[in-house]
Amino acid sequence: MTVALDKAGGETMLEAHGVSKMYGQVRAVNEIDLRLGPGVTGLLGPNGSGKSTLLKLFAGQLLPDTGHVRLLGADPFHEPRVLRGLGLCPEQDKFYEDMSGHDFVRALTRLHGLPKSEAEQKTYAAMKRVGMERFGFKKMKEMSRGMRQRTKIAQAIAHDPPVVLLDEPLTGADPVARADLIALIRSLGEEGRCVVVSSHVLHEVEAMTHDVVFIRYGRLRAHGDILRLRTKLADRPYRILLDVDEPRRVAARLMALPFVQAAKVLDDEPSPLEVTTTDLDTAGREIPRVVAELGGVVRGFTSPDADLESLYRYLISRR
Amino acid sequence: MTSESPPAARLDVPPGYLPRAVAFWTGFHFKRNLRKRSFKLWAALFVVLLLLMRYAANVGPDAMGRMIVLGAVPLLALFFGAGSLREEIEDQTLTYAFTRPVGRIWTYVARVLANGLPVALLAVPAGLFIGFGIGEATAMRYGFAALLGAVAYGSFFALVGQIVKWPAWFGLAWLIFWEGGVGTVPGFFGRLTLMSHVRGVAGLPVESSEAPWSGLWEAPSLFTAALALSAVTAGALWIGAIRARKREFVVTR
Repeated sequence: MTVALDKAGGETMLEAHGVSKMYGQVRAVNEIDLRLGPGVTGLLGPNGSGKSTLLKLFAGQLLPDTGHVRLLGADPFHEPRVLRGLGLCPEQDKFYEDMSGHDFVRALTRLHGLPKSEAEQKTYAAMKRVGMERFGFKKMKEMSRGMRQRTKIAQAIAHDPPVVLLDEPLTGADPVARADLIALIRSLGEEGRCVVVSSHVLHEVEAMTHDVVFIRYGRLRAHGDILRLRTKLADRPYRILLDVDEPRRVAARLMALPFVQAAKVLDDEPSPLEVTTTDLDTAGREIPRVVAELGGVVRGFTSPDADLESLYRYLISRR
Repeated sequence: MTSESPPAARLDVPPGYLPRAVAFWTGFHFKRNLRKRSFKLWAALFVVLLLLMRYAANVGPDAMGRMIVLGAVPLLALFFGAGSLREEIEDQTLTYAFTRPVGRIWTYVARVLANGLPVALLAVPAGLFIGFGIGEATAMRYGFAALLGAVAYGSFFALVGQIVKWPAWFGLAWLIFWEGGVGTVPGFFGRLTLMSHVRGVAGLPVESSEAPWSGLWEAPSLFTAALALSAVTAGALWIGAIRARKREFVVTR
């Protein structure tokens, strides 16, 4: 199953058309069609689902077996000039360890052919932007994992690219750094860049963007706005946990409603009634009204299935 | 990094970016190579060995010239050249260079040059220094042979490093059996080795201690030998660069 929602308007900055990639006998990416424009897109999927391979294809590191990849309208594998517009933060925690973070970023910025002074200026700006202006002169091998991640992001954005690919960018970052980097990634998207963030930490992706791509077994399972995806998946059952008095009586009344599929009384739970529905919006309107008719009140109404985590679990569990 | 500039404006490539980027990347890795412990060790070993041979063992300049040009140059070129791309693959840092607009061909060329320069830095002054013990012309030939040998062997072993899984072992076997063995054979087969052309540039013919048929061995002319070494350098660089452009380098999966 693939659920796709087109983004309204916007230029296409990254495109995959019918792209497949095999590693020996393993099909890492399978017939993916994807177009991404400005803004942040979360690339989600379990380990081994093909996220990093897709990013490598977009970055021109790999050549698709079938289909084609376009970065800013050009083939990134065969037309390296277009890589001027790409910033890549790779997944591996690897650097020229004997260098300072500042020198590392400056060297890679100079590899864009920039004069020394301009590269220096851009490096300083990028290091400042990732919060590394004070620690940039430490050697890479002496840096914490969080600092290394920040430095890796700095080298990806220093040359001001319109497309930024971030493969697990928050790995190893402490909570404060995570919050900072999430804000940074959001701001990169707001500047009109096409930012693709691969991650399996779902709440962090949710904090960055509502535009997500789900991949499983190398296949595109869903793409679009989280909220619209949820609506699109009309057949998907949602659980609602209700904190009400007399849960058995309420359950019997709710079972008569057309949008309620099941109602289960849970013993020893803070929310003693679990209702299953496929229409979360109607349930949200009608259930409090029905409980009120019975003379009760809904003290708690939560849906453990309405967040990104559950949507992710639901999508990846379906074949 | 200017966060205000629109995306389209950021795609302009600065004029003259390619030579600037290649020169920078060559210098960058050359300096990194010089800072490496392995280079310092090789350099120290090389100098100590030369001093011991010259002043402790009283080895003559001709034999020392042979040792430098025919022995040290190929060995050092194997050590540095074979790692040109391989060490970046093993260190998983290749991704950074290969996702830049300079392109894989020129990144590869810069990397090979950066690994060939330390060999030249050690061998050329040593060749010149030893050669001056014989005469100015010999010194120039030793220096020239060390330089051309360093780049030819370096380019060749860089290509080998791309293709073969254990380039150091392959290279050693190549040097001993092909270069050292076939290189002393008179005629066509001998000319197929780099060693015979390095001999031609340096003016160091096969001696009777190296092969019983040394009397039959004829050195190629300086011009022919220099041309052959330059052609091998260009050919190996070209094949290696094309391979680097066409090949996928999966540093992580």
